[in-house]
Amino acid sequence: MRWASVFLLAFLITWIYACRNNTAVKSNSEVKYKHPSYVPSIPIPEDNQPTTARIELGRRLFYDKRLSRNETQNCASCHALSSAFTDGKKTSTGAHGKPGKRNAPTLANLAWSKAFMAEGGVPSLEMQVLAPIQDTIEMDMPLPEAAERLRKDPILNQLSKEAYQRDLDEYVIVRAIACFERSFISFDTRFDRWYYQKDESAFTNSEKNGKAIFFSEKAACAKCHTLPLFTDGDFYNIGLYKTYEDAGRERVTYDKADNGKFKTPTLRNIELTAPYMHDGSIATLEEVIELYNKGGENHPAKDFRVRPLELTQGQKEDLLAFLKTLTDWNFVQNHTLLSLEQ
Amino acid sequence: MKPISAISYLLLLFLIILAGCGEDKKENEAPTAPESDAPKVIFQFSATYNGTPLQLGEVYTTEQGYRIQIEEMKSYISNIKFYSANDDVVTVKDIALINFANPSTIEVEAPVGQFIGMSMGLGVPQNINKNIDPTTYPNNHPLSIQGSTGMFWTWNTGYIFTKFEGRCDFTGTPGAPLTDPFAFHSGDDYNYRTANFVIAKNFEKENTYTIPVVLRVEKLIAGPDDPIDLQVDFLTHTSNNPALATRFVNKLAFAFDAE
Repeated sequence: MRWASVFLLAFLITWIYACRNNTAVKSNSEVKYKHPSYVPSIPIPEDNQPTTARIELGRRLFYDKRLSRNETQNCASCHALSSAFTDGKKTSTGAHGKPGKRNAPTLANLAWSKAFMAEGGVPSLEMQVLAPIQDTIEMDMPLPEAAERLRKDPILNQLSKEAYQRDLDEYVIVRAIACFERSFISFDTRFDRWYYQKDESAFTNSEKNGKAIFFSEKAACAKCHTLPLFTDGDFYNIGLYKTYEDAGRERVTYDKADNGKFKTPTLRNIELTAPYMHDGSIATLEEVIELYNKGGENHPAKDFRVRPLELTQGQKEDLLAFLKTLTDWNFVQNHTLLSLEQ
Repeated sequence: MKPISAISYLLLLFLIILAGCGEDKKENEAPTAPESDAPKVIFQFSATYNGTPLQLGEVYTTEQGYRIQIEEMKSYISNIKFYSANDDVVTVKDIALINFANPSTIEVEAPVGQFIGMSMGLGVPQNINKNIDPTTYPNNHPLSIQGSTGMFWTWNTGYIFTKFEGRCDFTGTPGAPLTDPFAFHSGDDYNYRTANFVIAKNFEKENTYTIPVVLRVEKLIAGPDDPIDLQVDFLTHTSNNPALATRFVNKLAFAFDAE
């Protein structure tokens, strides 16, 4: 009996020792991104289904400044949670202090995007991750060099093995960050409580008036900023300029009819993502409403629905009040989306 | 037979479990391929400028009298095919990135037989140019992030098919600094071209054949068809000047010799 106990103990110790490299993998459990039932399911690539280890690795990488050449910038440098993953700047500044040409877009709910970048030239979130890291104006870090640098971090490399069963490399970096970014889900707003959950107390009369204007045929805001994401993911010229310095969608299609077209941004958390437009040229939401109210500049590619609206001052205020109901304060304070140090 | 001791038993148990939990490397090892007796073809890639071997940094003179210095000359080549007299077509190489700064070779196996034609795609074929994440390729693959360094657009996915960069002095004055840059970055599916060559090869078993493929760099800008004046047309990243990119690839298709 005594020997049997010794053998059993020896067996257990030996088994734990011999299989210790696999124990961490077993703790890597599957995750289901949570979102309201009125939102379509998230399209997720087969090779990047979310798990705890993948999201955790992505979170660490998102906040890791070693991803930039001079270790001064991480993804959050231009996409800070407190500003709904934007940076409050007209255009973002890169690792070498040079300004970029575009305003940093929000990363909220981009799990549902079909095309990435303002002109829509990138087909997946994983491939989008390549752009800012390698762009010489942004993080200026060739991905193979970034992988070599980060692989030397034993914690990150161990997480990589748990998450993707391989050493940390380019494949892992883009997938882990994309996996983390898909968790930026934001639908906890007063609008959602009023419109979808039928909580009448969540909206004021002014906000209800603003909602009516927003969804009216005349203003036609909801034709492109469609429910429930407040974007249709398509590309439009809204008459921001008579002549566009940035050709937008035309850069991808080579079609003049796409000149000055940019992807419809979501209006969720719009209150927190100033300044506005692809180039950050409009400082406030009031000015954006004024642009639409005047009908924008004349341009051959301008969308036909952008025309003078003749809104009264009161209607403009109501519309602004409605837009502010799209702010998700819980989202921007969600500590699980912050770095470990924050 | 002596009874097994407790320590021996433990040692045996330890070894059995250790072996059970380890990876069976032998099962994963690929069998060694037998030596092939198929004909071998070695493509010898090189570049010249007006007949002399291309050297980056060397100053050359264009037909307009400009002095130019070439700083980068790279191109994807793809789908190298041989054509037999009875219309058989054999693809011997799918994709490679050639840096014409230095001579380089690619060795392939070819079928036995007589071949009268060869073709070579210039660029990355449409089915693998976009929508495939470059991080899914192994690092030594020409389309991987590492293998394609500088030849993959990230803002609008797809590969730069050909890069031709350098500097000019439009005065043509010997010794004058070459201050004006030029850059031709061609890409996108509609700019894929194919270079065709007449050859006469009879490939036999166990023999090795060499086929020199020479890029005549001066033909990328020189006439007589649609010459490119670098003082006027000096920059295309394809999307910012698609017309110039197309003029460039049209000239590229006729800038190669192979025999």
